[in-house]
Amino acid sequence: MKAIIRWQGLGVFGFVAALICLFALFFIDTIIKGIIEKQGSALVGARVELAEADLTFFPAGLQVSRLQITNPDKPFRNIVEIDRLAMSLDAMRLLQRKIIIEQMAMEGIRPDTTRRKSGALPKYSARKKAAAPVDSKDGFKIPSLQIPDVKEVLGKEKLASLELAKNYQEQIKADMLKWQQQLAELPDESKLAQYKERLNKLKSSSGLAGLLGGATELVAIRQEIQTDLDRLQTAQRDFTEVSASYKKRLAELQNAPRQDIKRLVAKYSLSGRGLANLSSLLFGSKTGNIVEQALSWHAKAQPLLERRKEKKDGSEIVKPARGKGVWVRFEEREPLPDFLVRNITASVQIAAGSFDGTIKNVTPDQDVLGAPLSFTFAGDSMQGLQAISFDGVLDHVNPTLPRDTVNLEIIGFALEKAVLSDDENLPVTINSGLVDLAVQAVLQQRDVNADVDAKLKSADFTTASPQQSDAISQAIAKTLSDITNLTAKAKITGTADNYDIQLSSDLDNILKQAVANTIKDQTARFEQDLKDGVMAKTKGPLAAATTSFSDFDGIAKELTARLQAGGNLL
Amino acid sequence: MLKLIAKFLKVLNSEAEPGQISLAFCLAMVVGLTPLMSLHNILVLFLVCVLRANLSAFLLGVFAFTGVAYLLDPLFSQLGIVLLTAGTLKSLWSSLYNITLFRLENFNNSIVMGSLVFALIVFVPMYFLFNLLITKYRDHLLRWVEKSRLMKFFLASKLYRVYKTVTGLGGAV
Repeated sequence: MKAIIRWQGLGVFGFVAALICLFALFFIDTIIKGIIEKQGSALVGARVELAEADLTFFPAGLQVSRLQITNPDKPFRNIVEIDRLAMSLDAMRLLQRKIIIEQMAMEGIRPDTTRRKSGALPKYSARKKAAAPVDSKDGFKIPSLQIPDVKEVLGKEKLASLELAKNYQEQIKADMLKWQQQLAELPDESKLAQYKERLNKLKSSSGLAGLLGGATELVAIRQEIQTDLDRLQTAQRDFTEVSASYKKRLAELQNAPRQDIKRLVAKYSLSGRGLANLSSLLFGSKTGNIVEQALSWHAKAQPLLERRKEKKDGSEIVKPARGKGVWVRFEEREPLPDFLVRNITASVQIAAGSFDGTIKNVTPDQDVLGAPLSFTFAGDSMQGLQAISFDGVLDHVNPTLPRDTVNLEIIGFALEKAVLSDDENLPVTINSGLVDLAVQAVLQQRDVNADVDAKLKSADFTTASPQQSDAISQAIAKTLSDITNLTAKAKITGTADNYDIQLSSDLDNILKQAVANTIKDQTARFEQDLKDGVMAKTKGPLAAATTSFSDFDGIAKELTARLQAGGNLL
Repeated sequence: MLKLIAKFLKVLNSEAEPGQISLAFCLAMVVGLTPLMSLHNILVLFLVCVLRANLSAFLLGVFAFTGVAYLLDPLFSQLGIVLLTAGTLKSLWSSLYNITLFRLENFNNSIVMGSLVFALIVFVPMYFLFNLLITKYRDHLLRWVEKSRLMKFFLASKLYRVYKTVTGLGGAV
């Protein structure tokens, strides 16, 4: 066998190694750009693009310019655009496949910017089409402030009094027929006349035999009369009971129209109560949308806070993409996450100006790091905004008990042309005003608990009330245009999937007082009209029921007459 | 590719040491079965360059074993998980996990671990098996193959023309 070592192979190996190093030197920036764009797009669900990536080896660091992250819900808008992003990397940790960024600086962060081209990814946009669109106006409607037309109300509402009268008539007629049949079977005038004739005959009989025979006959006739009288008395007793029941029902029937009027007045007339939740109607839908958006962004940020892991015999298994195997983590002497940004300094640019902040401990392995993500941003003296501060802690150190806390405080935000309601009955716009807003929100596991406190100062409301609008709408419009200051509070509780928003505002009381008299007059008029209408509708059936009862009561008179006639015979 | 196959056939049918071809195949098996971008493959490349392993056989082997790896990856992953989560080996893995070189090796990935362990276990038996097969081929099959219809077809093919160019013989196989 020839010598086993091929010395010239060393040269070949060295050449190949040098080639690889050269390739890396020339193309590493393009490769990193591609990796960031590919991984970022997969994470966000929409295109992530950057103009340039520049990797430096000594010291280890990376600079990225013009990073654009598309909003997956609006492909022609970016969630955020960052002009420059510079970071220093821990080179030794990089060899351990850990991306530990000690310091990251983000300059020129501009949220919600326009894109020239759509940033939708084909597979994601196809999936999104299946989702139902969210209608921001869903459920938002000012209650009708028009006094309803009495004819319309009576046309569509069923009156209980009419139903009662109908039933009464049907039943009393049936009973009348039954009693008339019963009367026919009971001893009547002719039968009593027969008794009288037989008695007279006895009285006229003469002789001893006639007297003795007559006494026996008399006893027999009297017994027959008594039996018939007993039947008549029983019938009278039964009838008195039935008649008393019909009398009671007739009284109820006569009272029924008043009950109908009461019910319809309660249902259709306006009251201060209807306006007590106007703030819910004005702000509820918008608050709901904001909560939905906040929860949606929180869900999108989940990959930055946690990732899927499972434990097997004390070792932690992290599941990556399919077909790439699984990574098993073991205990480290100095535990560190696979990805960590210890400190980010960021400068955010919005239309009003810019504000600065820091974000600490960005990692999907907070349990490994043992510290939560925290952030704090603050800015003041901006255009149309006196001050803003925004801080929070997203604590997923214990993945089974995550707790995220966010606080936002805005002072002196200048509102302009803010549409509160585009309802045709009561369109409400805040032309101008200053808003102070404080929000404290906690999301513990899936439980939401948030308090929102808003103050509006120097407000100028526009309520373009249409000319045809009713007196109440006009009163509300006038009151709103006089309001300059108001406060509103919201409490959001429940779970992230099923939460409840409770809103309250002094707007409710102001409106309630302002329109109280107008409502009172309108309601009184409506009540009178309704009364007339109901009475007109029920007058006929009620009269018919009274007549039927009188007819029915005639049977009692007949029974009494027969009893009297029978009693006279004894 | 045709050139590569022709070169391999030339070596296979020459008087070259069977051990050189077998070693090339076994090293190719390690590279082919395990994920390409693994640290140990640099060592394998170094060995291929320095040891007298046949380069044509190595390259052909890498292609062949990479194809096999696609089919066996799920099994390698299972094997890797079993090994990486075995209680008795936990302290060993934990020690290696804290060494930068081994972290670069990605040993804690189930496919890397499963395929590498499999390749190393079968390395020596496969070396001797390939040796035996090459010897048997040269002793018994070569003459038969030369006379077979397949070979006649091959002699008329483009591959053969490449083979002739490679060997520079222009003569018979």
